[in-house]
Amino acid sequence: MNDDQLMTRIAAGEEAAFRLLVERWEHQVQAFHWRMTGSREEAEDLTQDTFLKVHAHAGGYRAEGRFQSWLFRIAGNLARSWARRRKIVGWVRFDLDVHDRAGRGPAPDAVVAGEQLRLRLQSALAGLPSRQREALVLRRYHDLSQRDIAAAMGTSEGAVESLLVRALDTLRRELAPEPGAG
Amino acid sequence: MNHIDTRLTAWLSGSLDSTARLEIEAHCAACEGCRRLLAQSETVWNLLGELPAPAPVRPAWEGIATALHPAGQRAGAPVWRRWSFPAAAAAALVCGIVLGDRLAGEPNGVARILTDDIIAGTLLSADAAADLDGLLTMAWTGSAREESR
Repeated sequence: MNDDQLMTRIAAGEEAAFRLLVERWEHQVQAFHWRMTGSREEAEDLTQDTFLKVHAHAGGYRAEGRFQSWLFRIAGNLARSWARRRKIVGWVRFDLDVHDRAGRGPAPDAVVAGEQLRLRLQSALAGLPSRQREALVLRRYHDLSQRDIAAAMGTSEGAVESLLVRALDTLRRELAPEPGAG
Repeated sequence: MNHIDTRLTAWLSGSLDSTARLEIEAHCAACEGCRRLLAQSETVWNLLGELPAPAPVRPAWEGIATALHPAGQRAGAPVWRRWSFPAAAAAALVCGIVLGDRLAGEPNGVARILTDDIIAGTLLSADAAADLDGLLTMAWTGSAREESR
């Protein structure tokens, strides 16, 4: 059963269909919110809020095969509201698991250097303006097309491309070797 | 000169058709700036793919189902958010009344009745109301003890 069919059933009050939809999309939504907030707990809350809004607005959903855009529009609105509330756009801090870090004992220099590079990138990603980060996360990690991102963010495809180019430009500059570094 | 900015992310994500890719390759062969931009952007793009995946959090359904079938509570917001406003409002009112009563020298008078009404009128659950009531009783007991000294 595809997402549009599930949404039709959800609108008719079928809770089992809603559960199926949640289980199908929860990892993507949680991952999105985690990358937008940097916090596992906030991601959990925002994921729940996202699906409750999906449920509340199921009756207004138009089954046109664009469920993913619609879902991420809701998720994106919530993430941006969260950022406005917290006023922390620009200093999202990521809680990384210990097992996410490379190596626990003495590590080869290359591994340490690679890990440092990833941490710098993670930090630079977290420091991007909210809309640039949202566009990049949707493109890189959720494989949404420019058109779908534009629909999700309520903007034009050209504006999305501009957000992406600016985001990549910032990240390139952040990762550029520091002056004087070997 | 047609630079690659407008097709950069399409290139990186591999969504360009072969004609467009050939155009970009031809352009980069002759344009040092675009060649460097493309190489650096590819490095960033690939590194982004290596960033750790978010750690899994607990399945969402349990919390969603609870919110869909609230036991006398407003659905939707996470628990702390549902409680924060009514609890803070009740606490502020109670503090004001207790303070007012103490200043007026009536520790067991109007305040007790009003506070019971406040508890009954908020969205507090039976357990939370019992906890608050217990705390208030302790406060009044202490207040009365001070009065009797």
